[in-house]
Amino acid sequence: MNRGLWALLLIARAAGAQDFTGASPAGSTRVPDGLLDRALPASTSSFCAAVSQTRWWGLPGLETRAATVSGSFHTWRAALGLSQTGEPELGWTTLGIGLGAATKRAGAGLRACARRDRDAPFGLVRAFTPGAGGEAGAGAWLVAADGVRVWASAPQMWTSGAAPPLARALELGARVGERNAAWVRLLAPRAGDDGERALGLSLAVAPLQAWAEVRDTPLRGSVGLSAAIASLRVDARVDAHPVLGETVRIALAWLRETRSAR
Amino acid sequence: MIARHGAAIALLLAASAAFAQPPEPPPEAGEGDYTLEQADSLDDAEFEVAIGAGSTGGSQLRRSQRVSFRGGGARGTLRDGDEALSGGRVEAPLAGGTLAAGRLAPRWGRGLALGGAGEPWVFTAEDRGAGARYRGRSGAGLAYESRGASVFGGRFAKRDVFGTRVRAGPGALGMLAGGGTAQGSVSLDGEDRSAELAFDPRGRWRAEAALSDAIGETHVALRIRGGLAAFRSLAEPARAGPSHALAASAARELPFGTASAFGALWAWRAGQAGARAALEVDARLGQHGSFACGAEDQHGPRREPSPRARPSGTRQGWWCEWRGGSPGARLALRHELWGTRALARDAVRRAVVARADWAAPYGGRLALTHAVWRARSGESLYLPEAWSDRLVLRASSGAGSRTRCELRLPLAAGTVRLGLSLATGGTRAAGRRPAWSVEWSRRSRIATASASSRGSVHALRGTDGEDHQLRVVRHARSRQGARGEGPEHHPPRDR
Repeated sequence: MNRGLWALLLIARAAGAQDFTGASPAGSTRVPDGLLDRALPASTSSFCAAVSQTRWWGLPGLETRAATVSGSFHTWRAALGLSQTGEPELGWTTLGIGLGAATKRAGAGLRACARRDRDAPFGLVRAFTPGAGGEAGAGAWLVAADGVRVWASAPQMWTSGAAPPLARALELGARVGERNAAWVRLLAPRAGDDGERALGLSLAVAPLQAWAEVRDTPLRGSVGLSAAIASLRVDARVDAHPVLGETVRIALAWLRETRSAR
Repeated sequence: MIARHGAAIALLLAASAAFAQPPEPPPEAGEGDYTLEQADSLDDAEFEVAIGAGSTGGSQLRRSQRVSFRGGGARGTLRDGDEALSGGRVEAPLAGGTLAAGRLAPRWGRGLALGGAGEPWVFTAEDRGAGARYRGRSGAGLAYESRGASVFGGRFAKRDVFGTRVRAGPGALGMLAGGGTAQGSVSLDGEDRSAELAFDPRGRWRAEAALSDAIGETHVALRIRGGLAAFRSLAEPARAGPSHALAASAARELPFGTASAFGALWAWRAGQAGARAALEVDARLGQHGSFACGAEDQHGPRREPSPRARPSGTRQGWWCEWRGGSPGARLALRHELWGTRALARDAVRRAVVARADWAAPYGGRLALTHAVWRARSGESLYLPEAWSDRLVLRASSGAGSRTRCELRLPLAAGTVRLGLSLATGGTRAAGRRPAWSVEWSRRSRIATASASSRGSVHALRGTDGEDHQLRVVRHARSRQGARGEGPEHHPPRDR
């Protein structure tokens, strides 16, 4: 593995997110990327198609492009996604799948993804060959009280093959409110760090929603803005790091809620 | 000095006990995982059979069988093929008393001569004596106990030990013999007062008294111990504990939950003293939820250190745990942090655990537990893993994670339990393939006359589990040597 890829991996690690992370704030029950990225299925029955682009730390050659589609049948949820990160000689392609079940009060899901370097031919079969990297995880959430949602997400319970660009540890979180909301997150320690703690706020003035989150080690923050018009939803997010600079994410989603699940 | 001691006692009395502390490996436990056997939950005239298989991550397959029974005054459990809990124990009524054979774990009085706890802050060992929460394994042999007397003989701590005890009212007089020496025990066991004096022919002795009472609506307990450091139980020398100890606990029900605290001071020998104090609040949240948090301060060695051991540092820690959901879907989260400075700064141990379990079709249950930890070099911790008949304390160090998935389903008039564990990072099981286990068990009633009044005999038991089984992280122990006995004995470590 060359130095460029190592640098890319280090940057991705500092980003605290990976292939299918959209631009939505944490803990919402309606984020389109919840099942695929964190194994947290949406509480509402819906169909969603989304694309997103992330430019990591202002580096033009370091971008992640992802396309995801998710759907539901009664209380069951499923999602499928494909993403590419970086230049052809340094980056990787990821295929992800998520399955879960949810009601208004609780949900649980499983996620898995296969990752392969972009300089190797990619295909559905090759994605699961020994040369590819794989990971699987699970998550669960429930409504602890009216307006209070608690979740646990372990996106990398199991890994195989090439190491993932980012080691993602267990995350615990609690959120009060839906559109006007506040949340806290706790990330378990990984080898080489002492975990992470985050505090966020969200304010909604229809059709807009603005949010901000601060995290520690090192102290840094994120701000985001969402707009929803009919079935169309646009999310933008900026992460600021004191050393690495800014990461910008844009996501566009078409989301149609079919009916409420019980 | 008197004023300082008085202040300490007042402080201890003002504190109360963290009764919800999960169990820890006893002092005689070696390195690695430790398994506690649950006391059986059989009703009268019931028996249970279980067969199982599993792997510990390698290619070797391990098979096991278990039979438990209870009826007509007899009871017992026999195990085969079980690496951690092999052997068994059988009891039967005989001549107005009870004859027991196999694994023995007796306790006399306060446990100074037989059946002590070992930890300075523990009032009564949880795996010794009749009615203990866990079935201990202090020795193997034969024992007979009647209303006024008891006698036993067996192999304890690699030596043959014989004991006899006579009781009259609350008083008891006992004698232990083995290894060419003897020990005596005089004890008083009242409902809320107990005391014991243990001694040997060379003049070494220890004495301990404990009392519990209520001050208003606050339940308090106090334990005080004194004696010579050289005194050790013939049967269980590793559980001698400190020669001087003072411990107090208190608990009070409040409108929102229970507040409890405990404090303990102890001295292993001159210059090697320790202290521990904790506060804990356990609040109820609705019908099924709860939130508990606590803080603790530790000084000095928790386990008996070697005479040349360097003084142990301070540890301050705090933890919080939330549980919620309904019987159909539950979630439990826990975070625990320990540091060497005030307010748990300069962290040496951190653990985050999540456990979710759901009701499965046909009356089954699916549970998933994921734990992530990071411990500084020289520190380690234990992660409890509850099985159907045992509690396994997984030794962990460094940085790593452990995932366990369990599925319990009714099958063939019994219950089948499937388990899959995966460990990464700082644990002995790290890097291996996933460990799996399968166990089928069936519990049946010998006499059917009263079965209808007690529900289905094939109903899944222990669905909700005990509280401690969700108390997913327990305290850690640091790596500091201590003196033990016997060539096979691994030095107990300070935790």
